[in-house]
Amino acid sequence: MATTPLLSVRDLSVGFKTDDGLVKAVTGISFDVVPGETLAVVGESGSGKSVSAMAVMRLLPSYAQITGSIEFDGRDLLALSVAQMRKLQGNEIAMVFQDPMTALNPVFTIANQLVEGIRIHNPTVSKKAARDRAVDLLALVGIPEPRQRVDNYPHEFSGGMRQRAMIAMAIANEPKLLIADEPTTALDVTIQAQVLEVMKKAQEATGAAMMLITHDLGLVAGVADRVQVMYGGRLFETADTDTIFYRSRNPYTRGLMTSIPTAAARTDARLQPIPGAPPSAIRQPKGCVFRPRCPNAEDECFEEPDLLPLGETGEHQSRCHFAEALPELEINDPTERSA
Amino acid sequence: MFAYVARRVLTTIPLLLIGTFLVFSLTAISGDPLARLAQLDVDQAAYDRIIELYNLDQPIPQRYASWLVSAAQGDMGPSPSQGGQQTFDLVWERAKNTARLAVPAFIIIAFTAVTLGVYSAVKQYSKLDYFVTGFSFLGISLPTFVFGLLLQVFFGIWFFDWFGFRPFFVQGMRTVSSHGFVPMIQSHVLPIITLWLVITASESRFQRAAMLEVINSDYIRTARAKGLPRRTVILKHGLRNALIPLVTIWAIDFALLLGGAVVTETIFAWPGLGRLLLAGIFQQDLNLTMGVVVFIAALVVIFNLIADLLYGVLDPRIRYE
Amino acid sequence: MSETLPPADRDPETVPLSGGALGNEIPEEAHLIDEREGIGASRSFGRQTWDRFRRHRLALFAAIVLALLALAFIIGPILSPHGFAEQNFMALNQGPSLQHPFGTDTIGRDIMVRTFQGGRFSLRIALFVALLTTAIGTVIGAIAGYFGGLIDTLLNQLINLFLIVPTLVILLVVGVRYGATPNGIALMLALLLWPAIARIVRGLFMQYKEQEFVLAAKAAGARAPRIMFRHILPNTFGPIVVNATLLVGVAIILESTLSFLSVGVQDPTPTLGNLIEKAKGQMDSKPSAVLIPGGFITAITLCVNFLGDGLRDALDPTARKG
Repeated sequence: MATTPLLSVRDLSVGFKTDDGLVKAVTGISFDVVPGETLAVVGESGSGKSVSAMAVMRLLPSYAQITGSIEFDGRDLLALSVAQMRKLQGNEIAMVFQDPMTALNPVFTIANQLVEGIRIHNPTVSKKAARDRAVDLLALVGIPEPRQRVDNYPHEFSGGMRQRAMIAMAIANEPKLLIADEPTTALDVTIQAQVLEVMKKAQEATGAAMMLITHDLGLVAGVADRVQVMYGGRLFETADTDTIFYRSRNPYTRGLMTSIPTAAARTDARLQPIPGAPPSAIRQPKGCVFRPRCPNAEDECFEEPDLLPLGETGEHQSRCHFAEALPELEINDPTERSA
Repeated sequence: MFAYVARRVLTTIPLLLIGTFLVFSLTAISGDPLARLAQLDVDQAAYDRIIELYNLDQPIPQRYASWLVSAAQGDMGPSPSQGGQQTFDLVWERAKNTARLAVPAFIIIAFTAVTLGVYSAVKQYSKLDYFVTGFSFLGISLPTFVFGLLLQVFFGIWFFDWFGFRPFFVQGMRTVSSHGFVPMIQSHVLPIITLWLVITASESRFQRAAMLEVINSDYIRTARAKGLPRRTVILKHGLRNALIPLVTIWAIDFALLLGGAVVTETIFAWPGLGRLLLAGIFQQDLNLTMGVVVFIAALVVIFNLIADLLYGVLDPRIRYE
Repeated sequence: MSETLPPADRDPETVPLSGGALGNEIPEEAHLIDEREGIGASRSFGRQTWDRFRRHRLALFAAIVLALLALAFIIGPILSPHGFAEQNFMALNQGPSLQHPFGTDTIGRDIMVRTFQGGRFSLRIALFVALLTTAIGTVIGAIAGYFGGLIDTLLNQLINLFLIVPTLVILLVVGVRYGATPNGIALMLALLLWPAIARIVRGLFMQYKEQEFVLAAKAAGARAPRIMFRHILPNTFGPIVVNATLLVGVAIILESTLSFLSVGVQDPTPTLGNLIEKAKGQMDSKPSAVLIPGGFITAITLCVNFLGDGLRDALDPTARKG
């Protein structure tokens, strides 16, 4: 990781004040995204992955309490004024959301919603030129007959097409960072691979770095350069994709893997769900947040472990007292699935 | 689209028939017009003529049927309590007076309700939001007649005691042609404020709820993620969607405003449809009561239809085939 | 006429536009789940309800004011040396005095005792209307929502009918003859207001009848009445209680409006509405006789609406207002 990071998050914490107390959604996470790379952020719902992405986009509600720093391309995003941030949103940082059925405004045409995004950041572009660009973008993301379909309303598109349109909208201004929050979760399984393909293609066309947020570890294998695993608002493990799959040093990551059908098949093991449920964001267990569900838990685990570097480069980090002591993984090749 | 309108109008006809029959029979059994007539000490010939004219000797369904037949031909009959004037003319005359209040009131209501609702939704939990919420609670809880009387006491008595003059008339209608421009305004202000408060209170609450739902929707987040200015996010993406459910409310409120405000007209002695309806009911004047009721029903039906069509314009997901 | 359109009929929160308005307030990630072992047992539903309600200070305050008002209305006439219909021809149309704190009316009756007795009648009518309306509306709404079909169609058409011929028109027409006594007017109001409740209950039943616990009960062979009243009804308790509460306010306003238009309860029985109707002729000389009962009506409806709002927050957290 010699390159200067595009996005550099340091010690980010996010809490929400609610009637039932402070909900800690994210606790002290730090990570980098370098230009052009794809970083997958994996975790169950409630792990804080979406909240950290929303924090980067500055889309959290005003009552969210955010601490730490988020540096993007040399600017501290948390210090920017709303107006300055707006210049980045949808322009240098863009986002694709989970549910394409609700993420598009039902009362405006696709053209309207695409053109608006283009012209707000490029006021000199004529309506005509912006419209042509919108058609090109739809063609790029694989919408058939884009010249006609651009005037459709969202409800005239299928779910997969809407997500393609969302992707087109996100890459309209050639962002440097594309954040995709569970972009395929709401789609039919048959469509998921296609949309992921479109995401890759869109990323290549624009040279953007991508933060792919997903709960599906199986999905990231063929797509991501690096993976970071989150649990209970904390970073649990981070490494390059191969290391995560072959040499994971964290019981939670391993638990995630044995709960993926394909990965489990490779190990000839039975599909094993992680017992229990993710922790409440209000009352987190004492010590390691994964302790109550962890098969390897010992008395030490009542002390919270730190996220510590492993090996020489320090690029592989794991949050576990027994990171070094865990047995080797016996997995063959989980990446074949999405190849 | 034409077929849709036709179908909608046709399906309301049974309801109109049931509704008018209901009101007709309820009015007919609510009192005995002959007893009133007897008190007036009219001669037998006149007595018989009135019975003949209003079919008073027939059972209610037959009286309704003959009323319906003439009404369908546009003849709403004469109004006995109003010296035998044609009901249609009476209703039309009073409807104009009612519209003098209803139209400006509606415009002000629509504007303020949307503004208040949108502002308090956008600035949820702010002081302004609490103020608007408090205002709508008060408006919903304050009965029209209490508020109207309060305005009369305030401007008619207290204000006069303090300043020695009355800025507004507390009773009666004045027009430009009868009294001039300024008195016209002075006589319209208090009834319009009365109508405004009560309806704005509930509409702004509704607008707030609709806007809140929209603001928390995914497409608003998308719009924000695009880097659109707050104004565009709220007014283009937000309001445009939040207005859709309001259209029905507007239609009903406007129809009912035009149909006459019984209480407000009673308080401010306004010669509108509401008081005409009361007169018809109190004097067991069937033709008159039915005339006003049919007028109100027609307004509701028409404005609901307009609302439905507007819905189609505002929401591309709706198609009338 | 729109001025007396019952608020329960169009209350934005009781007529969900689609789903909860709170929805995405807290990002999906930050679920508030209370399930960890050894982290303290989760609070019971009743406890949570009470906690939420208590936090709603205004609602609590409203409940207290309402209770005090009711108490005053009941005790006031008992403690008063004057009867509410008792005439004192030596004290006609007086202003406030020690003996008659609110003054006397044109035929020498003590306005204070009449106001309290009027509040008592008004409140009694309103409670009766709320209970009866809720009972009728719940049963019909449940049947319409659960079975659909003809009853559902009829209910819908009836609601449309009351839109075309506004409730107030019917109330005026009927009230001239039947509204003169407290029970008559209460019955009349209940018979006209139930469709609003029925529509809400119908919606809830339609929603619940598709849910797993109902399907499970069906699969286990439970009969329709048992499913409706044992399985579904308890779930609709919150919204029904909230709307029943709000109905008290609607009924007070409607009753007093009818009385104000001299269609309602007739003299000598006082209600807050007909006291105002009697006093409005002398408003110039004695505005207090109008403003005091008017103030009571407003206080009651305001408290009822705040209470209903608090109850909604407490009993129906999913429909929590924004």
